[in-house]
Amino acid sequence: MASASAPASEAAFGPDPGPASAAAPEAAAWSDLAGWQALLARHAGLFEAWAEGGAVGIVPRAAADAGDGAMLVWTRRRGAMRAEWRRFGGFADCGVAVLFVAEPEALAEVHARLGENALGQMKLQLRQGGMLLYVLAPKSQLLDDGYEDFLETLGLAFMGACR
Amino acid sequence: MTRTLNRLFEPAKWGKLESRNRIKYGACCVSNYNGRDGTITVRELGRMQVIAGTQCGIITNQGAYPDPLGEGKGYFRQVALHDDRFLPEFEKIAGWIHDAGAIAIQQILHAGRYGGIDLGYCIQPSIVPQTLPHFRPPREITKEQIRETIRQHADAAKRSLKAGFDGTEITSFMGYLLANFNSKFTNRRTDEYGGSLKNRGRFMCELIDAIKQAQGDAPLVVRLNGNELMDRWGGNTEDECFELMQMAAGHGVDMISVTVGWQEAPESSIGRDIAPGYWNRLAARAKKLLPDTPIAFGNRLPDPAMANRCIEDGEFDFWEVCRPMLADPDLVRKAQAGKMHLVKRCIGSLNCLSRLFRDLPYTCTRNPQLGHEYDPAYQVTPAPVPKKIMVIGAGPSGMECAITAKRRGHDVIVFERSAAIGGALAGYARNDLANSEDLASVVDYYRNMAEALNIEVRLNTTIDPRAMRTMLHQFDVAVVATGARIDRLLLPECTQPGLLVDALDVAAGKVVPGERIVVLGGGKIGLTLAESLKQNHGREVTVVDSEKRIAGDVMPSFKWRHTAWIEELGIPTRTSAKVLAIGDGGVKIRNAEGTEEFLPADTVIAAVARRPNQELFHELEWMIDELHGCGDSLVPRGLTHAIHDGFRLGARL
Repeated sequence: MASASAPASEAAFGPDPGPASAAAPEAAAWSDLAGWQALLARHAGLFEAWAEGGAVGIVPRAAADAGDGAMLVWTRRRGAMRAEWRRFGGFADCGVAVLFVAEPEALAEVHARLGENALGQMKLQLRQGGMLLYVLAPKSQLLDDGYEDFLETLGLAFMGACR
Repeated sequence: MTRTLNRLFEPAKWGKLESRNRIKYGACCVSNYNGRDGTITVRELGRMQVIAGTQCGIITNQGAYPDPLGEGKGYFRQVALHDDRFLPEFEKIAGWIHDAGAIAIQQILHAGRYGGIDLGYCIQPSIVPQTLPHFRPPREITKEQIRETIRQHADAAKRSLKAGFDGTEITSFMGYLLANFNSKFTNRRTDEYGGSLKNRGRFMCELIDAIKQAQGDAPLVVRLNGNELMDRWGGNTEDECFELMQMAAGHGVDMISVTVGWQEAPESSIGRDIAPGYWNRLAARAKKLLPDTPIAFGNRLPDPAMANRCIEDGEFDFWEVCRPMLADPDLVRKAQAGKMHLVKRCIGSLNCLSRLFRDLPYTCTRNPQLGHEYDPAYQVTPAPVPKKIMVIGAGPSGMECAITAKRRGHDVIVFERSAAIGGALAGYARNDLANSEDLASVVDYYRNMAEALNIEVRLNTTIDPRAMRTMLHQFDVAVVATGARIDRLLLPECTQPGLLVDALDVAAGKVVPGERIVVLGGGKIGLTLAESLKQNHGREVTVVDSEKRIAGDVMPSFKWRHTAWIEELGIPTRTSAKVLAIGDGGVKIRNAEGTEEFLPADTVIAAVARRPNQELFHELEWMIDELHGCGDSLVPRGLTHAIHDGFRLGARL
């Protein structure tokens, strides 16, 4: 299982807020931990099957390319979902079962719909190439650790394989 | 030969070889019919005997992995070519291809990113994780491993020639190892094999050089993407793809086969939702760029007439065809004889690939014999005693049964209560957003075959006990192929007359729904109707389903397509919903959140599960010697099972 070690300090790994002029939707999307937390709470049923410590991460495309940066993590701890920041140091051992790599504007689109159909927007972004999903755990583990419903909601099982 | 296909059927020089026509049978993925250790099985040999006889000028045998460890093995039962012990079966295949007058090519397939199926990892140029859970986590290939991999390919090429093949083929189709090196998406190396296009193409060039050195003047084909469809995620641009083709040509490859897409690409490349001919421009660009290099092409190009036109227009030199020939191995023969109306056309249902990616042997919706060529139960042999057979129902299952039985020498009459053949498929085809013509071609085929085989089809004729009494003892066999109907018992009673209608009646055009529609059932029937009513007729549609997700009964490789359409068309869905009442101008449901909701509607379409039409099994039991059933009248499923059931029954009556 992709275990989620407790974050040392969320502030230490949070995204760089950037200059004031960068208070664009993109920046807001990365920094709004409370907003993401509310999303997870609203869709609690979707994550009920996740094993303790189960986690998925979201990183900006630039961080994924550089192998370094802040990672927004959705993790299940003590029976509840938490949104938190962790450091992303590359694909190896990044501690999540699935990693979403997002173009900043794509995440902003998702974030703009936090109160509506954010997961539907995520699915759309995955299909349109605004977000890419990397599978970092074997299929059997994804199934055993209860990710199936969540991933199917995002269209994963529908994607790929010689279309 | 039909004069309109004269370019396709003209002999063509290919280096020192001569092809009897311009048709190349493509390796077309792998069959998954073989041993887990890569040995070729009787089942595979049976298939290849049929393929050898397809009348193609060039025949490519399916891709064999070249390494003993199996890092290159991309499919559960892929054939191997890393040792001489595999040669006897390859010799048989090459022999059959030659006996049939064709050029024999062996494909060497190292699946790279999609390989290592029996291992806990795959190898690729850089560690770029998988985007599909089916595949293995990556390891970075070392320079020493690169050298070894190239040597293994060269050895496999030598082995192919030793087995009697005339040449070999390497492939980057769909994101295999060669594509992984070529593409920026998976090649992030900083050594001489990564970075610039020249460096990324170095592996390909070394591979070409090594194979050409190993096999002398025997031809080498390379399959290269004209478009990866991965550029949005950092893959190669189309221009870069063509620069790579130039590099391959510069290293003396003898043919470039232009392909499209990766398995993980976010859009379709070969499904039914892509119009035939859509990608032809890529072949034309390759030909223009490389006029001296033979170009083969065939992605989503199922029509020989279109291929002939492309060759005539100088867009490519060889029509590379595979899946259409899985659907109908007699395609070339029928095209040559001007009998295209009798071809079982590939309808892009992706049944073959849906099965491959569940590690199952591939089968074909249209061709029940595929994969069973060795099996006597699937042969169409003369009937020991000709019988008089009545087939009740002219849907795909009944027609397939009738045609097969007739081919065996039985006397067959089909009875159909409606005014046309095709059954529920005709209505389904009419509403299919992907490619209505493809599905309609199935109905056309049955109509044309009935005419060609002189099968009497009595339309507008209902068979019931009364009708049967007038025909007592006139038939030896009755086949019940009456399909299925929407099971209205699964829904509450409708309290408003005319509000609730049957999906199959709407699909068939018997009922015209109102402006606001609620479709009860988010399976393939409900979705197809909902999509069509929204897209083609501008209706306001909502889909309600009791399951957690829509498209539960859709072919795995096509589910995404329906869910995407539903989203793109803005059709609201209510999943995990229970229908509480129908009437008073709409539908009352309990939604996933447990609250009651009223969905106003002018028409409510019942598209819930179907129940088989089995009444005749009981009613005719004491009125006929043999009574059989096939297709949805046994268990409602889909087109593939309907056709296969009908064939199998027809083959044993």
